[in-house]
Amino acid sequence: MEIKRKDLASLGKLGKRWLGVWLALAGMCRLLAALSAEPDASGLRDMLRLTNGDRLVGRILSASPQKGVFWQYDSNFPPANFRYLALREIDLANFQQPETSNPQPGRSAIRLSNGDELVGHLREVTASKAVFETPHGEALRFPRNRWQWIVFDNEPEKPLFSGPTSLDGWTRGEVAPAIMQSGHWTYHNQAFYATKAASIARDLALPDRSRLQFDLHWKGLLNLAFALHTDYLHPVNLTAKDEEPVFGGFYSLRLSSPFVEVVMVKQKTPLQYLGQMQTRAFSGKRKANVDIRIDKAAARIVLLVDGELVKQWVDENGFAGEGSGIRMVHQGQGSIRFGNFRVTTWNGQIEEPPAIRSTAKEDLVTLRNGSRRTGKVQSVQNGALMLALADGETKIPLQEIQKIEFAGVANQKTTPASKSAVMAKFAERGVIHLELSELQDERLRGISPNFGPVIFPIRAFEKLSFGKP
Amino acid sequence: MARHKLRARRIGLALLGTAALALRVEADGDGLVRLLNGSALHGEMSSLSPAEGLVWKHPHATEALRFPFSSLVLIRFPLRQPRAEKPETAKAEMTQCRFRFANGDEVYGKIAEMDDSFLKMETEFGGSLRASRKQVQSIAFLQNGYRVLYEGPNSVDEWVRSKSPNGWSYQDGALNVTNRGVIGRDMKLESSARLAFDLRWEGNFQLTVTMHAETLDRHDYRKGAYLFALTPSYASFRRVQPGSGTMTLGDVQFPHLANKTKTRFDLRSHRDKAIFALLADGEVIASWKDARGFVAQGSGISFSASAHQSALSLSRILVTEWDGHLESELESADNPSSDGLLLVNRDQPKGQVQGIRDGRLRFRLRNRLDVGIPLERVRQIYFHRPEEPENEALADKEIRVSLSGGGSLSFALTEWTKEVVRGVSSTFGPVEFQSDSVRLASFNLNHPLRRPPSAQENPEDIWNFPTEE
Repeated sequence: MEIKRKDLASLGKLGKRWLGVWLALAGMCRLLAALSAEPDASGLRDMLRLTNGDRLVGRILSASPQKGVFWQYDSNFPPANFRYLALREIDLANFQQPETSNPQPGRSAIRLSNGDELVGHLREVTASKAVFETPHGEALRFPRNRWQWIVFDNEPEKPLFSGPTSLDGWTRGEVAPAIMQSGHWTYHNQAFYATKAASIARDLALPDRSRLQFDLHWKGLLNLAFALHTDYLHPVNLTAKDEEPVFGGFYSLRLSSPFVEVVMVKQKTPLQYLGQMQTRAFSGKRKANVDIRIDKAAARIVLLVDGELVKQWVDENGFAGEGSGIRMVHQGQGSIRFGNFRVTTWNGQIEEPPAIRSTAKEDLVTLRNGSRRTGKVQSVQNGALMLALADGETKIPLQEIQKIEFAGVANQKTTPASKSAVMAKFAERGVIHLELSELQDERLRGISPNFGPVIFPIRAFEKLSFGKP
Repeated sequence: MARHKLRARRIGLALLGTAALALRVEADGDGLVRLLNGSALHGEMSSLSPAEGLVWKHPHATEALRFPFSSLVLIRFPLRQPRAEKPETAKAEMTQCRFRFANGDEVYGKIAEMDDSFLKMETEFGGSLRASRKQVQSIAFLQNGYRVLYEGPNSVDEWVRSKSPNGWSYQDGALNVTNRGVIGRDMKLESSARLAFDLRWEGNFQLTVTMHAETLDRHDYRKGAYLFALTPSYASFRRVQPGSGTMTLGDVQFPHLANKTKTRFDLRSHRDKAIFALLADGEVIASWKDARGFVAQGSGISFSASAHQSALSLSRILVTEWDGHLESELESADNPSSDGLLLVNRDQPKGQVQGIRDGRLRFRLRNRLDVGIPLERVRQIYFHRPEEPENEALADKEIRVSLSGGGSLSFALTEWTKEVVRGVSSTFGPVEFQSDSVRLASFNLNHPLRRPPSAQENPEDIWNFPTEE
């Protein structure tokens, strides 16, 4: 809901009072909803991390620079009180599951010069200010001269597949235990798990251009072979592929900690290695968002990890995949969780991440069709951008815009952290820097250099870092 | 006379060991408690009992914290100063035998007396202990004595590190590395060595352990040494000989590490026999003999992490002498219905142990001939177990403590104060010993969350409850 200052100004005293009551009730309802959605009875699932490396599971009750941190670590004992300066981070259990990174109509992400990144809806831009509404509270107003870029979500489309929601429709194959112990993928709470070598496959009716996105969590060694455009739902021993039952050609994308590679696999044809690449995409991590894009006509396979392009492979001999299914074979060298799997069509484009154009003179607007316009952003009103060009002014509907990169806004220089500085990472995505006033009653109150006084429900965040500039 | 010389030599060796212990004592600072829910806190234990739980002083908390007994995973205690000196003679003989019991306990001490119903021993940590004979699995007579050369790690300062690159650091009783680098220490190795350590890793690892090294901060191919190169799937053993370069003396696959992230390695060398052994989690992986004889002159040990971006951790490092015998030499005896002996001349008579008294073993051979064998002639005794004794599995309330200088003991805890630990052992009955004998205490040993990932019933527990020790 959007409430503008001029709307507030037009309300009478009674209206304002009712509005205040309404907002308080809305906030209370949200809090109650958050509390009632707790995954366990105790609700002690937050993690307190201290500057000496200690960590303590429990629940944040309150925190302030003056009173320190009160932490409920066991429901049978009084809360612990830790000194504020010992506080490093709090990982917050997200009782409200964040919306996934799936696109939403009109949603965008903005970045400001101090590193703040927020997701929400752009409501208004004037010559000096912008109004941005997050899902967590009132509309935020910030000065234009701190705004570095805005990226709009892709147009949402109905996924071809979204899951997993069960094992139904999936084929679990038997992995020949050459050296490793073999087992099966199991389903639990909207994810597949494997702790031994295991195979699972499904015909997804992949179109000619497709995009496969999923979240991987792993412990131990990440080593996953992902068969693309396969017509065979059982694992294939690549060293003896010609002795396997008849299968059509497919591409095997191998994801591992030190490297990624794609191999074209076809019976009666030597394996064709399209290229191996050393990568740090999975190094030092236990989870990653994987984004695989396939274009049959261009015989192209693209891998992005956590939003960054890792590698593109092109089969110069033409696309060899003969099926429309996928197969995942965990190689058995660790434990792995596969979830938030989403298959959509792909427009064939790879988005370039937004840049900080601190030395540029003009703003850069990139449209969804790939074309670019440079000029000076004048305003945004009623869902349209007014852009001043050299030869006049043009109006561009926001839904046609992919991103805007503003000219002349450099990153702020890092200054020493104040005692009360907090960096809060949103559960969905994004981050905001604040001077903490108080954290109490599931609410974080602070002062933002961009937005002024702000109040957020703490479950909007997944992590609070203390003492960050 | 010869016996007196032998005793004098043992006393000297024992004194050397004590001196080494005294030198390595450093201010480790805090203890550490870990909980089943993944919490880990530094501090100091005030008290512990099954009824009242743990009372724990944390350096950043205003009040002591309290944790239920059922929530504990382990407590690690800082290494204390060696206890008050004891008469030299007694100290020299205190670690003469290693006793292994059916419940997994391992105790170092001196055998006092044994008959067909009980075993009486003298231990440094707990004084005189009396065990049911049925619980005794084996006794190893450590002819070289049991000289502890090093127990740690206790700080990074007691190690020599390579200049660059070096990613080794110390925290909470562990040496950690997240990049390449060499770290070493002069362990004063002489004619034999046994190096045992816990290794944890994330992803892949390549760890090279150099035994009998002269150069501690780098690979030095101009000096003789022996190298154990360890990875999650195989190990190789190499000799470095000046002028001859590096020669691989053997390699071995051990795929059972594939799904693990922690293993206790045990590397051994013996100069006179020129033999070497590699054990993992108590299992003999391989043993080798250098046909050219023992070529190394150094007295140090170094660890080299050679995989870029690998993360591994070394803890519970224990360096002792080795008598050149593998436990498996006798314990895999093919006749489980008899007691077995391994004598210094490698004879392995079978029969029935009658008892031990006044330095002689009374043994009834299978032809019913009774013989008396001086204990100096005995290396190992293995006791057959006609029936599974009761209480072999640890009861839910039992804890296991790791003792300074090696060995472990399990018992039902009665009380633990700063000075003394009291409990009831299924093997020894009531036990009482000084609390500063304990380096580590493990709790809730049968808890489901302590099972390996592949045995977890709820797959999410693999990620939600890190219970690493």
